[in-house]
Amino acid sequence: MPNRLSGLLIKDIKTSIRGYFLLIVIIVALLLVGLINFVIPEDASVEAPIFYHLTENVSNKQLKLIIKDKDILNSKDEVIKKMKDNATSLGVILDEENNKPKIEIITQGYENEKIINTLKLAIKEELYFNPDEMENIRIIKLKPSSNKGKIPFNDKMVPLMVLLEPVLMGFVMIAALIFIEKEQGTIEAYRVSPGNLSEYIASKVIVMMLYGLLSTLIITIGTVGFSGNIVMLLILVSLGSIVASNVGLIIASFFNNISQALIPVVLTSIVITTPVMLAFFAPSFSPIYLKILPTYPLMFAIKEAIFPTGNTGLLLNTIGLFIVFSLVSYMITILSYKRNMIKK
Amino acid sequence: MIIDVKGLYHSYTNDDNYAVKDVNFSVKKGEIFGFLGPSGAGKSTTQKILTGLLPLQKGKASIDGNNVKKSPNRLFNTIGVSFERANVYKKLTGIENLEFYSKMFNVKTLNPLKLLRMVGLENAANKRAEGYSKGMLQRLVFVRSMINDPKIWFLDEPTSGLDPTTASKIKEIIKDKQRKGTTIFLTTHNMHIAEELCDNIALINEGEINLIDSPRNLKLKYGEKLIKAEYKINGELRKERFSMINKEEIDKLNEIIKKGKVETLHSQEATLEEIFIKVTGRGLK
Repeated sequence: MPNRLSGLLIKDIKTSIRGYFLLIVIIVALLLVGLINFVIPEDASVEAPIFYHLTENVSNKQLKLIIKDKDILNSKDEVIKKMKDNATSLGVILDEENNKPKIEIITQGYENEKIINTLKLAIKEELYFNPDEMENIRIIKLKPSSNKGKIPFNDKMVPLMVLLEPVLMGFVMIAALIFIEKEQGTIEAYRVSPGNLSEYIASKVIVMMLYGLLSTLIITIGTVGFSGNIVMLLILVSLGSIVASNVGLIIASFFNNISQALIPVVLTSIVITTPVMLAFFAPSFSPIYLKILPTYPLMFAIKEAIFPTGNTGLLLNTIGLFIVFSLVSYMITILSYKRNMIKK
Repeated sequence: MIIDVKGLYHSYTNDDNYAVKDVNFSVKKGEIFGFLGPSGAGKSTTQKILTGLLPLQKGKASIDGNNVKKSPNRLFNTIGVSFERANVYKKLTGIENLEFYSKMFNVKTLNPLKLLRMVGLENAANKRAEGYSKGMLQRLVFVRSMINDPKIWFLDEPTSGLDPTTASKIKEIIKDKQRKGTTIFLTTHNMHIAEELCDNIALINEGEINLIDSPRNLKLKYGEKLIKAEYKINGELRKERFSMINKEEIDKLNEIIKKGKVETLHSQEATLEEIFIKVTGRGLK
């Protein structure tokens, strides 16, 4: 059996390399590295500057506190002029009437109610803020973060890229690999040998996993270097790739050629990736159906491996979960091939 | 019997539309058994059921005492299958294809280069199969089926698409394997190869076996003895076949001979194709 599996592996590696699979993996990984390093900005935050003007009537101590360390302009006209030069800016005029603060917010006109309300709340907060109260607040960290520095915005994309390329690449590529063999009829030749389906499938899944690991190394080393927990990352990618490849194989087993399988394969990849991408950018977005998707915990575990915060529980739980997923998906793949593709 | 088939049926549509129906035959050890019939007759379907590529739906079939429905994987160590379709890995070279296949077996396998040499592919051993011609691919598929030195060898149209010299080489290899004790199940629509190689032939048409016998017996039973004559009438050369059991035709031939108009005269047997037409009502093409 080891001889047979090694024979299958050598064959699958050679056919996939000669079929330009390796080249595609390397090129896509390098493109992603280029995209992260040179296209996506390090800082993508959009700041809306606020210009302040304090009228002569103001004697209120709190109002004076608001403008501490802020851009103070000499007149309302000057505020408006500055705002015209910067379309994302806002203006605040602080005045006093009958010993009560009177505040005027100048907007560009397109801001929604949420932004205006946020600004109102911020000003209100500052008006009634007592700095003396802060002195009694102490922060204790149970799990001090190992990643002390702020992660640049472009590097934040790395976990998502690792999930989309090395992990899910196997999903599409393995289907292509299986259809090439089906078209050539080589599966029939294999079936009249003593080789069995479990070895045949295992070989393809292992090859996709190797490509996934290579792609992961290119993407992570090319962007964030050797930081993070590389071993954990490679284990996660390996398991994720095994599950993705098995799912790709299961879908492919129901079809006779790549054109028939293309739409279901693409649709499935959209279904399992799009919500996870949304959750990545907005972690508070976590409906129950999203948590059921295996890609959801995997993405956060990959993020934890690349940018450790000390949450080893997340890593170990995800690894355990994906060992189970790998075994179950492998069994289902074998059964589906026995039933669907081979018996045709 | 090394291959035994009883009441075999198969339907691709899982209904009463059978691709093979009530097929019965048995093959003795060391025999070359031919399945002769036109395209779509059910030859390949029968071979696919015997080799496990299609499920056994109805009937019984055994190979070397193993029920094909439950045949263990190790049985394939003793079986070789040559396909009509050139189903090799196109991105691998000829020798890589054979080396890969040899690793799939648990028994001692033959030297890939020697096999390639046997069919004249030694110079293309390191060339990728995608650059092979149709005939070269056919030869590669043929030698691949020999890699485990099979005890039972299934050959599907082994000389299809080959030039006469290569086809003759292939036929010699088949005969040689038979001499060494291999049992061969050969499916073909080529009457010449069936006649030349087979000990017994099953004539199959529309999924049913019409006759099973040796080529000689088939000719004796169903063939008509003929004389092929070339003669001149009014200065014009004519070719005609005369039946030796039809009195009118015998008299006509005698007349021609008496008049001394005969140029050439040959005795002629009926071909297997003519017998096939007689038995099934259709040709082999």
